[in-house]
Amino acid sequence: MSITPLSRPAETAAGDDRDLARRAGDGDTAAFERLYRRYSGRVYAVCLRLAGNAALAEDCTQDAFVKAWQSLAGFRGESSFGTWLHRIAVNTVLERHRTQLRQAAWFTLKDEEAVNAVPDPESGPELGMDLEEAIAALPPAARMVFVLFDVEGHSHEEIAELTGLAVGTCKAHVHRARQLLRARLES
Amino acid sequence: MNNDTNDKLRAALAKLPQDVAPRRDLWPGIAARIGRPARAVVRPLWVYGLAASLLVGVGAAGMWFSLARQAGGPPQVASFATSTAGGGDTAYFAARAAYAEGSVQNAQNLSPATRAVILKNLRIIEGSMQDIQQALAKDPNNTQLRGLLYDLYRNEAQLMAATQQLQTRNTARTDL
Repeated sequence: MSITPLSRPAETAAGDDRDLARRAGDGDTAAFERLYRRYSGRVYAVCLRLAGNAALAEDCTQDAFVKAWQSLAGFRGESSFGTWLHRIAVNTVLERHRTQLRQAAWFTLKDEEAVNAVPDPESGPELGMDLEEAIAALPPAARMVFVLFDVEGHSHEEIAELTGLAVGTCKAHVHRARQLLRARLES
Repeated sequence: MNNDTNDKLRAALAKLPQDVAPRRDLWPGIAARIGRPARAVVRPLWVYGLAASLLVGVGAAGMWFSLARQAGGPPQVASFATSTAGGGDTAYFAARAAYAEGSVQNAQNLSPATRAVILKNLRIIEGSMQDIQQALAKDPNNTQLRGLLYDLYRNEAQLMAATQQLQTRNTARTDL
């Protein structure tokens, strides 16, 4: 897969992650807490950008770690722990948005209603902060597909598999999201 | 939309931080859900048992008091057929279960159907506790089993508290 894994600090060896995951799988919560401390920022960042608000992102982050704990027996170390955890986090947020994603399956490029969702361009003092806010203000389905494609590095095929949307619909959402964001940056 | 804007968007996306710190520490909530207190503070099992027993005892005492006031004397606690052959822990659990069950049996302001439902649920909880106790005797460090046992303590206390509320409510109606 071409996804961007939840990368680890350079000094952290993959073997260390696997060892912690193995110990956590045996019921060692201290080992699992170390994994949480290591990856909570990455998981929260993914959840925040996909969910679009902090409270939901916190819920999803907790859910993702609990699901990871419950699934540790199934972690074989074939992929890195970060990649494995990333997929759990993404799925956790997407599960919360199934209804919106189902509605998004009928999206067409002529659907311009979301243009009104572009936030006030004067409100952001910094481009980075401004962009985070603009991403958060995107329509839910467009935001999730855009984040998965342009921020997290998934392919359209992978996003289609994750979200249940058609590949063409995913492309349309990315296109629309970029339009909205460019409109904001230009203004 | 010009190329300059595209470049700005691409550059801004590349600069987004990989890590964003949550507004608060989420670990305590996670730790609670995976069956252990935060920061690996593991209290001995008897502490939870004692706390649950206290709650059950308070609930049972409340019912006992209201019954005694009505009947003019203390109610008789029915016997509960539980094996006490398994040593101190088993005897303790059996005694507590008998006390809780006796309290419900003697809650005369409950309808027979209500009492039957409460007793059925109480026995399910007590039976589950015994199963987990036996499993924990073989695997004392199993955190999932410990978590389940703590949940059952809470369930038992909630059931007894709800029973006491029903009893009190019905007693109040009788007094009218």
